[in-house]
Amino acid sequence: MNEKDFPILKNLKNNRLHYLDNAATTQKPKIVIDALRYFYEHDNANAHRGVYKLAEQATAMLNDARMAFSRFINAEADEIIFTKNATEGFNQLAASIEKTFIIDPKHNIATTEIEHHSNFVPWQQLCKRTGAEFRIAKYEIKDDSIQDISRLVDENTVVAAFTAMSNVSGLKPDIKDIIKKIRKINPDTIIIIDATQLIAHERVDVKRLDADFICFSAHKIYGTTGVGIVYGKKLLLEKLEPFFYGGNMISTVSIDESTWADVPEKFEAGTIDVAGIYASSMAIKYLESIGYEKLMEQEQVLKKYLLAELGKIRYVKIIGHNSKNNKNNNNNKSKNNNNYGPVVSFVVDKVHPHDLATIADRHDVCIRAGHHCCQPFMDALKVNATARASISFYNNKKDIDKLISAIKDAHKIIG
Amino acid sequence: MTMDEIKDPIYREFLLDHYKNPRNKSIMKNPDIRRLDNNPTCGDMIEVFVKLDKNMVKDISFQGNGCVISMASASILMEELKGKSLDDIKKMSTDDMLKLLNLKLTPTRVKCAMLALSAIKKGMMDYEVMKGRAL
Repeated sequence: MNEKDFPILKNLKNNRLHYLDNAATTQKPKIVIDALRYFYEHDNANAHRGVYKLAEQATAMLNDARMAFSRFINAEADEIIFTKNATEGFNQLAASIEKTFIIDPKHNIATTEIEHHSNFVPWQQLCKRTGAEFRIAKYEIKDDSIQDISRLVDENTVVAAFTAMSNVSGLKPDIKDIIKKIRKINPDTIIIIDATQLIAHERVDVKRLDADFICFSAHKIYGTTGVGIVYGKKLLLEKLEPFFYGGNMISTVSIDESTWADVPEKFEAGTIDVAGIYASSMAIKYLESIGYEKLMEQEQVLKKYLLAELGKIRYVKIIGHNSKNNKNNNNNKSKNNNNYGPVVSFVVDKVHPHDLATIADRHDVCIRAGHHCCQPFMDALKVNATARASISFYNNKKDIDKLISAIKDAHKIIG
Repeated sequence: MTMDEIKDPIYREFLLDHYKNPRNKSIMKNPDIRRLDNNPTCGDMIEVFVKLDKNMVKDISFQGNGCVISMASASILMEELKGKSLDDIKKMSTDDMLKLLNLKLTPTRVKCAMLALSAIKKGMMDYEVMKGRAL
């Protein structure tokens, strides 16, 4: 694994790009970029449509890619559905669940206050339409924890949807434990996990986790934009009604009615991004060749360094991460036992995140400023916005040093 | 270019002064126009208040939280709009706003600069609809 594998990092004339916005999207290794080009130059045809050699080849490449993604998360190939991104995955699931099951005011759907809007708004709106109760696990600011969502589950809980890792603070709830608890309370509750942030930083094993559905986007894991993955347990996928209709997802169509294709095609109407899926599967292969252990090790080192450097600055407050600077942690002695991924949100006294990001840009440092599509979480944190630095294994200590200089610069100019 | 402009393309003394010492930043009692607006991508929020005398701005103020550009622009705009007519405000364009600030901005930051004016224009529309209903 090498930063040289990522062309964009050195494409800035003589300077290196200090890209610390990996939670927004990741940079792509040359192997992925080349695969995209190769596909269009040698293999492009519509998969599942033709019997000529080129079409057979495209179909085979799509099937291989599906196999690669399924092996990556220890699923079966026909449990992998391709969408255009995780957001579409959640929306598709909400629509299909609404079509398949009767949901009414005696039911409820549970999610958390720290969710990305993509795994919050679809459920909120589904509850509005059906009259079901929308139950929210609350964020506790004093110890940076999230209420155990299983406490909100009862015999009428249709869906429990929650994140495996916050895109704001990197907080990683113990989802395996939570899923176990939910199953004991209501084995029929459909458990949906947002793995969009976790997937690039930790091995996801669907058989071990026992969630019903898991969603993530390829572009968060070094693949192309326009490709999302929904994993679903086969029995559930067979039960669910499709809501997106057209070519490829049908078996027969007559004037009066239609029958559906088998899973996963049932949920893949139209022409999907075969080129992107193929290229993104190369990202999976690249990651497998490095090994999660190695990349996690590198990311942990960098995360520790980032937290230490930020912690030295008296006017910076880190959100979570068991940070001493975290003024939310009223009792410095009792550290909470939270786990965190390499995503760090922070606020700088007297400097609005947007201004910090603008000044960081002058140092060729890319960080995110805003509400990170988590407005309920911002409300719970009692801030309008934070700055966020998110690490990948191709970052180095210099990237972090440059961010620190930018923070000091911003505080000098504006503070 | 002035020394100020050479030093920093955005964070100039003039702008920082309005950010740190905002003029017209207060909540107005009994305004004729009151409107909230925000810039969702970056967490800027503003509420504007306008007191009218016939169709002229008699008093104007804002409350809010946001980046240097959004807050300083609000402060600068409030000073500019005192005594102006609703028609004058309707005619104000993005270019007029940027000229007022003497800034060249990227599209994302233009949104910050336009936040206060956007809130006022939306407030004006609400006011006119209400007036129309009253008639």
